Formats: sequence, structure tokens, C-alpha cells
Amino acid sequence: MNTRRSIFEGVPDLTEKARAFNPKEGVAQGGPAAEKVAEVAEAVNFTSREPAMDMAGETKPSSVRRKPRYRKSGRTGQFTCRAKPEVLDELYQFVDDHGLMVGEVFEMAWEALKEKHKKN
Amino acid sequence: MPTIVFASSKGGVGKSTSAVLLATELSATGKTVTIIDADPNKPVSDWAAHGRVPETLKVISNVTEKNIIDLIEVEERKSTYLIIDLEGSASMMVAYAISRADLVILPVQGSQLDAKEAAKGVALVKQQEKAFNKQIPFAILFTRTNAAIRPRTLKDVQSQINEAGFPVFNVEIYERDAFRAIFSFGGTLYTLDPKQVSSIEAGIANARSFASEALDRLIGIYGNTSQNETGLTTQPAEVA
Repeated sequence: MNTRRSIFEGVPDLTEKARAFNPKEGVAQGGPAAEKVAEVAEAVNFTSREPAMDMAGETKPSSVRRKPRYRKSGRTGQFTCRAKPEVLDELYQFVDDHGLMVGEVFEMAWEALKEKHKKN
Repeated sequence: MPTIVFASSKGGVGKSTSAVLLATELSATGKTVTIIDADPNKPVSDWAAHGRVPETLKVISNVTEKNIIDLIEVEERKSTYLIIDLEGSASMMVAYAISRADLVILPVQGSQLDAKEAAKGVALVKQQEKAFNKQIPFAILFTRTNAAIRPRTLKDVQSQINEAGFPVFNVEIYERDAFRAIFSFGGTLYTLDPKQVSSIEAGIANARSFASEALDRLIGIYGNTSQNETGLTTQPAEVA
């Protein structure tokens, strides 16, 4: 008579193995300071995904209240992204200083980026 | 107190599933286990919210880049095993967790895209090893594979990873209904209802083999610390 192989055949006894391994308890191994870890991580493009914090741990909102910008330009596609508040402040300042629209600046920046990569 | 980190800069590769499988298997041995759910989507916390979490297993959520290192150090003292499930992104949280890891597990599906993302994780591990002059053991874990079919793309990715010399788990986490079911019904593979879920036993065998290999890797790194008074505070030995 044929007997069906057990599904657990060859599966190790985990309880026995866990009993044999007794890591030291009640200790934390510690490690490098967070600032050093962050420095090393940024070198391989691992970046913070959380909002910028000030020293008190509070989220730092943009200090600028932006006016609405609207005029017909034929730009109908929408593009949304998150960026650092200080970068956005600079971007909107540039937009206002040059009398442009955000979409126009985005297109200009995109063209410049393509050009730069062409040269490299 | 060994800290096992599940990391990948890509989502949907089976990090949370593998983390919960390992945690529940280890807790079934009677040891205490903490999972730090460092994924903002909180998949492990959602799983725990269903209830039927083993008594020896605790899930910590509300983790931020600011508090993760402190949380790790507190929980390392409290539990025998600490497991960290991370968001699928190249975030600073990943770097902080890896800086405290005794073993980094990098889940990978059988696709080129996944392999590329796993390589990013390996790059971060290597960068930290170099900067902090310490060995951070890691291994690739193939996940969501099919127990019966070996697609050519998977074989190709496996051979690329082997050529790169990255350590790879012999056990794979198969795509199984039972693994999905624990996130739908809560609890563990052992508390699932066989009338509702198929092949639970095969899932248990798979999860147990994975946990066993993870333990083998920890034992291989540190030895049996019951015979070593210095415990895990010793510098890890060279691992293949």
C-alpha cells in the first residue's frame, strides 16, 4: 500500500532549536549615532520621508501664505508632488519674481534637466 | 535580543507576511517576540487588531524616524527576539533599523525590478558595514514564489543574485492562501479554520522551515550563546 509522505517530513523541530539558542536577554546592543547613520544612508540615496522637524520636534510649515495663481494657458495636465517647504518657498518666489506660472517653471526646469543630461 | 530587520525599498514583496510568519513561529516556541511595525501603512498592527495574537508576541506601532532607535533599544531589552517590519521605500527609517540589526532579511520576488531594489538594500548594508567597521549579516529571501513552477524570470534573477555573491535563504516563502488568510482573519496559521482556508499544513511547514533557517543563520553568526557568557554583545563572526 502506498503511504503519502508527510508534509512535515524534513521540517526541523523549531522548539528544540529555539531552546538550544539562548541569546543573552535584557540587553540592548546599541550602535552608531543617528546622525552618523543618516549621513551614511544619504550617500546611497536613502532619505528622510517624514516632514522636516524643528528642534522641538514640531513640523515646520512654510512661513509664506501663497496667493492663488490662475490664468488660462492651455496647460491642462495635473502634476502633484511633495517637496521641502523651503524649496517650495524659493520656487514660488521665482515664479512671482519672473511673472511666470508654476507650470511654466516646471517645463523650463524639465528642459534644463534634459539638456544637462544630454551634455553628460 | 537578536534584532531581525525585514527591509526592501520596494513595496508588496512580502516583508510583512514574512515578518509575521517568523514572529508567530518563534513565539510558538515559547520565546517572547516583539514586532516593531515601522511601516506607516501599519500592516502588522492591522493584523494584530484582528486579535488572537499569541500571548508571547507584542506589536509596537506609532514609529517615527525620531523614535525608532530608542524603541529598538527598549524592546531589545524586553523580548528574546525583536523583528522590525519596514515600509517599502528607501527611507531613513530603513537605515536606522539596519544600524541596529543582527540579521537583515531582504525579501525579493522573482522579478528584475525586485532584484534591483534588493541590491539597493545590500548597498546600504555594505555602506554601513564600511562606515561603522562592523559586519551586518544579511540574506535575500525569495518570496511569493510558486512551489511547483519555476518561471524563467525567477531563475534568471536567482542566478544574478548568486553571481553577485549575496547570501540567499534556501527556503522560499511561497505564495499561499494561508499566508494571505492570517491578514484577513487575524491570528496565526495555527488558528486558521481549515474549512475556510486550504493547505494550512503546507503553510505551517513552509513558515517553520523559514523560521528554522533564520535561527540557523543567527546561531551560525553568534554560536549557541547559552555556552557563551558574552552573548550577542560579541562581535559577529564572518558569515558567508
